[in-house]
Amino acid sequence: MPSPATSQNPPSPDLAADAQPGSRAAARQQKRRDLLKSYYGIGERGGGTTTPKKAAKDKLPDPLDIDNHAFNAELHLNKLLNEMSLPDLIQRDNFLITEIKQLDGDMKTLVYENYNKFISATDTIRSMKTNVENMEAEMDLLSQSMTKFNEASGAINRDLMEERKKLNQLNSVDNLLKKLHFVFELPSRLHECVDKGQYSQAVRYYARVASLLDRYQHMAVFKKITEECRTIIDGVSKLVKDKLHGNTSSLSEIAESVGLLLRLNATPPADLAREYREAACFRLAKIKQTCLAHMHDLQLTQQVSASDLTEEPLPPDVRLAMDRIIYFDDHYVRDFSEFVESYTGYFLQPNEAAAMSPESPKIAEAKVNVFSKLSSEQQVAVRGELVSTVDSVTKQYIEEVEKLLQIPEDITKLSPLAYIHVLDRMHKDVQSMEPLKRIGRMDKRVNAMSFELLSKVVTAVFAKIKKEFFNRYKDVTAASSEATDLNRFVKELNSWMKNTLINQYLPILERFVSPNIDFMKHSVFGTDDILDQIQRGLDVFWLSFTEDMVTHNDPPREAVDRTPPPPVVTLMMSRSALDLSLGTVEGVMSAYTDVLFSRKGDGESAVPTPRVARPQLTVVTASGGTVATGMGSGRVGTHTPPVSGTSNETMLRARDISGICKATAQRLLTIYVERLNVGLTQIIQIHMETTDWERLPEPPTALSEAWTSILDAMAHVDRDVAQLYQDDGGARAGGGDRLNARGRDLASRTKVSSSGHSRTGSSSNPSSHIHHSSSGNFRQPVGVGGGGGATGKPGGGGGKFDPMWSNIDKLFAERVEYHGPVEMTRTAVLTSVSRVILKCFVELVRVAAFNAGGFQQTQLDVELLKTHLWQHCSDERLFNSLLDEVLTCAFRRCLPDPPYLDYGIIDSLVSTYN
Amino acid sequence: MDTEGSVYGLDHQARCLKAQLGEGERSRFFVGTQDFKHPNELHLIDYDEDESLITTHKIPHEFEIRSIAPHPAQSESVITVFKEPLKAPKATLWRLASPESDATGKLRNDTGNMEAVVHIEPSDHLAAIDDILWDPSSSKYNRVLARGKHALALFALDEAKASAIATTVIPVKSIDSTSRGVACASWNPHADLIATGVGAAVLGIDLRTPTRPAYEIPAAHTSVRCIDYNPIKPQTIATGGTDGFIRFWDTRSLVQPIKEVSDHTHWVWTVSFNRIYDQLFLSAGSDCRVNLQSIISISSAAALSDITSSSDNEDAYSADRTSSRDEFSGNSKPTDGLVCTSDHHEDSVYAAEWSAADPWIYASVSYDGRVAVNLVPRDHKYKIIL
Repeated sequence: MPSPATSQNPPSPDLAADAQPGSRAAARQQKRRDLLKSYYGIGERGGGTTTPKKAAKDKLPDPLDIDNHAFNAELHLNKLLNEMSLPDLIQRDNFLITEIKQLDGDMKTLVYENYNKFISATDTIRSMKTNVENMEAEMDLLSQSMTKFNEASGAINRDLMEERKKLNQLNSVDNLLKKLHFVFELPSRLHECVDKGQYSQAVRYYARVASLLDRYQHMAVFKKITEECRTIIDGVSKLVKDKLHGNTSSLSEIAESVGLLLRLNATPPADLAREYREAACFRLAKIKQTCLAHMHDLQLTQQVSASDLTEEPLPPDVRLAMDRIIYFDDHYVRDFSEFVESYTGYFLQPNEAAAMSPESPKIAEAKVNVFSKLSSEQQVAVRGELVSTVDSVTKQYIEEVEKLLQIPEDITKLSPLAYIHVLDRMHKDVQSMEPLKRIGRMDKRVNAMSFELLSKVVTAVFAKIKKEFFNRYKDVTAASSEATDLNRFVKELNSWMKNTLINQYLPILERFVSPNIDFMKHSVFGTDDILDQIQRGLDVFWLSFTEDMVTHNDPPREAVDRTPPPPVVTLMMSRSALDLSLGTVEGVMSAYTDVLFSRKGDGESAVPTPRVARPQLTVVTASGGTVATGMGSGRVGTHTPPVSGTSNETMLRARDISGICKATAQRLLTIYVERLNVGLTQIIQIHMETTDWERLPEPPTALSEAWTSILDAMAHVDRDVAQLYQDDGGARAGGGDRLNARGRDLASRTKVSSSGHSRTGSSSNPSSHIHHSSSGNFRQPVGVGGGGGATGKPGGGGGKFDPMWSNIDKLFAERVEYHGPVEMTRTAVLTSVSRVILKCFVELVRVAAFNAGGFQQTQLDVELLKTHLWQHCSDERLFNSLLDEVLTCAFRRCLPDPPYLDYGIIDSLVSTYN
Repeated sequence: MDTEGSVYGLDHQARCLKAQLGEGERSRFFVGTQDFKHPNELHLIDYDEDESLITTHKIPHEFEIRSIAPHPAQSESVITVFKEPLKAPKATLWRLASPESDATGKLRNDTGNMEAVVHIEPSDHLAAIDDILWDPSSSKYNRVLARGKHALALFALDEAKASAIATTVIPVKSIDSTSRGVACASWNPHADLIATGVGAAVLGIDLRTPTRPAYEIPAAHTSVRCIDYNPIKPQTIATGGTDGFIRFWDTRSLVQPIKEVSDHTHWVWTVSFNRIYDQLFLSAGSDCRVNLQSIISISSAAALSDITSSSDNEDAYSADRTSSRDEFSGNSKPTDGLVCTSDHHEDSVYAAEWSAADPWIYASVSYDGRVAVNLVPRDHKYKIIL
């Protein structure tokens, strides 16, 4: 019971004392504690119990709380005694006792542990002390030994000093003597060298002592030697320079001379570089000339060399081409390569170049260790000059090769073997010329050039046939007056085209795709690319071909020469285009597919993977316009469906192109009709406008010349068109039907006469016919035999315009499209032309005024047309209504009412035309 | 207001129609009949937009009328070109006894008369008069140009004298090998420059230096039928021809037409720019069609719209306008293309003209004597003005 009180009691007075205000010692102590606390990081946590000041702030003083700083045991005891029952108090007492015992135990453990640590620390310190004492002694020993070594070494050195000095001296004297000897002997040596022509040796000697002489030239002895040497060397350098610029020096001599000059240091290196370049270029040009001359003279060697690309022996022309290119490469290109190499060695990259030239030891030897030091700007300039030289030479080279491989005028003479062999050889040769590859990227350029050349050939092949096509038409133009068999011409031309494309060009193109050509292996391009090129060439060929046909016949407004070919050419080309669409395109494309395009992707995988959908076939052609996919209906069912995926694709394209061709045929036919219309309407227009219809004599004595010429033209057109375009069945064909037409006409007239007037009697009563021909637009629906004019109301009005009847007529008539696309049949063409003619007639009659003579002339012309134009116009209703309109209008525009021309006269005059 | 327009039938065939230029209030047109044998009529027709009604005033005219040239300012003065049998066509300036009209302006469908003021006779050099053009630049209106087949002639009009005096005769020769004559002419509204269609070519004739053409288009059409100056951009001319094409040319650069329209299937007989909204363009031909074209891309409106569209983003006001425009017309700006085709005619249409009073009204006449008055479709009109 009292123990807790005692255990708690002692701090209380301390606490109280500590807390005494004004106690300086306490304040100092507190400060020290705070420092320690902050050092150990105890901080505020433990502060509650250990630092009363702080605890006071945190906790209110409570004398009853056993853990409080203001705990008062007395009060606490009293409180417990008052509040608690006896058993509780006993329990409380027990609890406190156990707690105190526990605290005691803890304290003892802590004290023991501390003691233990203290003991071990003492032990450690003691052992340290003994160890260190030992070490000090050993160190002293070591230092003594070192001093001894030092002394010994110094002694030896001192002893040997003398000897060494002597040796050095002797050595240098010897050297000097040697040098002097050399120097004194130099002039004679140089002389000797020069006499022997060993300039390089001379230069080497001189270079060895040049600096020495330079340094000692103030001494009289040397001065003389120097001067002597310099004169010799000047002579040498002059000689060398002459050699450099000499016309006869070979490239290697030039290279050597440059090396010497560099060593002599006589000329600034940059200038020398320029001189070297110029001299070499000059030399190269000469070499090229001689090469070319030689190549030209080069005759076929007799030995038959087998191609390494194909097993078969090479044909003579290929061998010749090969010989030429080999010669050219061996001489010109190799020399050029050497020049580039030594130039690089002298001015750009010494070591690498020297190491790189094992095959030309002479040059390598000459230039070893010769390398001019140029400033970086100079080096850039020198390099730039070299690159541009290489560029220009490469360009020249390519030009030469192109010349060698010129595309022949006759494509069939084109030798793909030659192309491939030459290009291949060229590629191999260039590939082996390291310097050229490094500096000029010549290999890349040659590669690109080869491919370009190939596509040029492909284009040329196709352009050739196009040119030939138009050329043949030019012949037609020249001979168009004679009766050419148009159909045969077109058919022959077409089969010629097909034949040439398949049997001549295809084998040629096929050879380009030979798989073991060297440059294709090395190039980024492959067989597929060549095939693509051919395919594209073919596509562009078709499209540009159709486009050219259109522009040929319908020159654009900005064209310089706007005179188109005669219309019949347009007609024939239209048929040609149609023939293309009717199988030629597909035939050619399928042949090409079988032979070429099906090979595509062979290298990649055996099974052709389905390709991505082909882009819409719109090809931008040379003129800049796009040709859209033509009519879908242009497909022809005769072609058997292809098998493989690739060919399927090509055939789809072939159908597209066929469609475009058909659209072109249609367009050309429309142009043909337009051009006919222009010509014919112009004749009518001039005829109608220049004739004074009010002052013509009565009755007319002849047919109008304009109309007979138009009928002639129509007959001609009919003949032309009939050869090329078939009838669609329902039309009247040929001259045999002309009788029919005539009979028909008679029949319609008989109808008139059946209503009372015989034909022979028509002269006695001309007015009966008036109503037949003039009333068409007035009193009855239009159309021949449509009820018979004479049976209708007679007489009344005599040509007075009645708008109501006119409107009713027109209401039933269909609206006619005079201009516009024309169907591709003979009937459609002729109908279109004839109705434009008639409509033109109508329009012009409406602005003319007539006298009786004028009217009768018009009547005569109308009858002429009724007889002879009828067969050309399938639209009978329109035909008659237009002619009736002409006659009605002429009648109405004639003052006074004219008498009709007698049919006897008409018939006899009309029959004069045939 | 309806956009259907209306139709009026004449008793005769007709091929000429012109707007009464002096009338600024009502949409009125002169129509001349063409009947070689019977007495003809000059019709003044009035179109009432509110009631969509045509009323007329008939004036007897002895000979067939080939062309009409209304006075540019005086509504009662009009020149007709007509042909007597066996005589070359000639022209007369008439003065109308002013027609009666009711309170709203409609005509009374009556018959009136007119008196001849000045006769314009063809001379030796000018064999026939095919058309008369008023000088558009002078405000005195005392000068007209007569078009013949192979010459143009300037006449001074003096109402005190019975016949006009030819002051200048300009021979016009075809530049192609054919002997086709002058088929049409149009007077530049801002200069003394006449555009003529001669055969296949268009020749610009400067009245001050008539000996050499100011410009020429050698092969404008197979045969040029009609020509019109853009009244707002006089460097633009439109031509129509027997190839069924309408071509627009910039007279400063004539290598290529600046636009080409081929909506007609036969000859184009008349072309006409709207006098106020030159993006509206009228053409008619012997395919019985009257086509209203929008040619905004080459009109003066194209230049204007460039300016407005560039400033559109700047102020809120214009943004408001844009939205309100959308509200009215549904879609935005007008574009090039055929606006509408009139199907009122069953025969060749030889004349189509814009009303002088209302830029949204036009009339056309076909050979069978049918006159049709039409309006620009309402939605297109809103596209233009909003």
